[in-house]
Amino acid sequence: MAIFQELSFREKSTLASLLAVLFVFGGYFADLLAGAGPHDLTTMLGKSAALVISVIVVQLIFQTLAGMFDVKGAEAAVDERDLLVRGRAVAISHLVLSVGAIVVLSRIVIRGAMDEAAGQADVTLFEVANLLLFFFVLSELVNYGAQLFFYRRGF
Amino acid sequence: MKGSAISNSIRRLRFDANEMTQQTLAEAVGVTRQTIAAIEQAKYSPSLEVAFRIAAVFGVPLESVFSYDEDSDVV
Repeated sequence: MAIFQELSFREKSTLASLLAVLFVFGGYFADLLAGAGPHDLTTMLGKSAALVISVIVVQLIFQTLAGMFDVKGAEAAVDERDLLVRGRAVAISHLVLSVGAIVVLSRIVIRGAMDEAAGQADVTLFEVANLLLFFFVLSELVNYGAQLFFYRRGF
Repeated sequence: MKGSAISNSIRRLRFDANEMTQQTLAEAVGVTRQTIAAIEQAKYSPSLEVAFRIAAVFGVPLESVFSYDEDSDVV
């Protein structure tokens, strides 16, 4: 608890965002792997939209509560270090997203070629959408994690 | 991790300036208190503009606040 208190408002905010994405989408992918998640693209897209809204609501609630306890921190303008931290984190998360895009494309091409050879089409939009969502969520987690790392360790 | 090649005397300068707080310096310079703390701990090297503003707050030349170690391994 002591380490949480020594975090700045921005670090707490970033940590809250990381945990919100981790738990909300972690639950979704755990359900999916367990076979309890959506089974078609329409349901999946609807559920994803609901989860994104859930994350935003959690972030808003946290920002409001944290801002009540740390008015000065909440009102502090973003400075050059904040921008640099965000820029570096985004650069790393974009790398993850790019790798994800390559993985998804490879999956489509390789699986598509195998299916074509076998005379059937088996790469579904549902699978592709979930893979894309997974890498998008992973890149967001990396983004928040990298921000925390740079805030704490410096650069 | 190696330390930064840039060191500074901000803590001493604050002490000499009637024990100016990090928050006061931060407000005078236009950055957050956490950024001043990070600069003091050599966890962040500020932009040239912020470096000049810090020196201006203390009324000293830039080289009295920041120094660069040419022998450092840090690129």
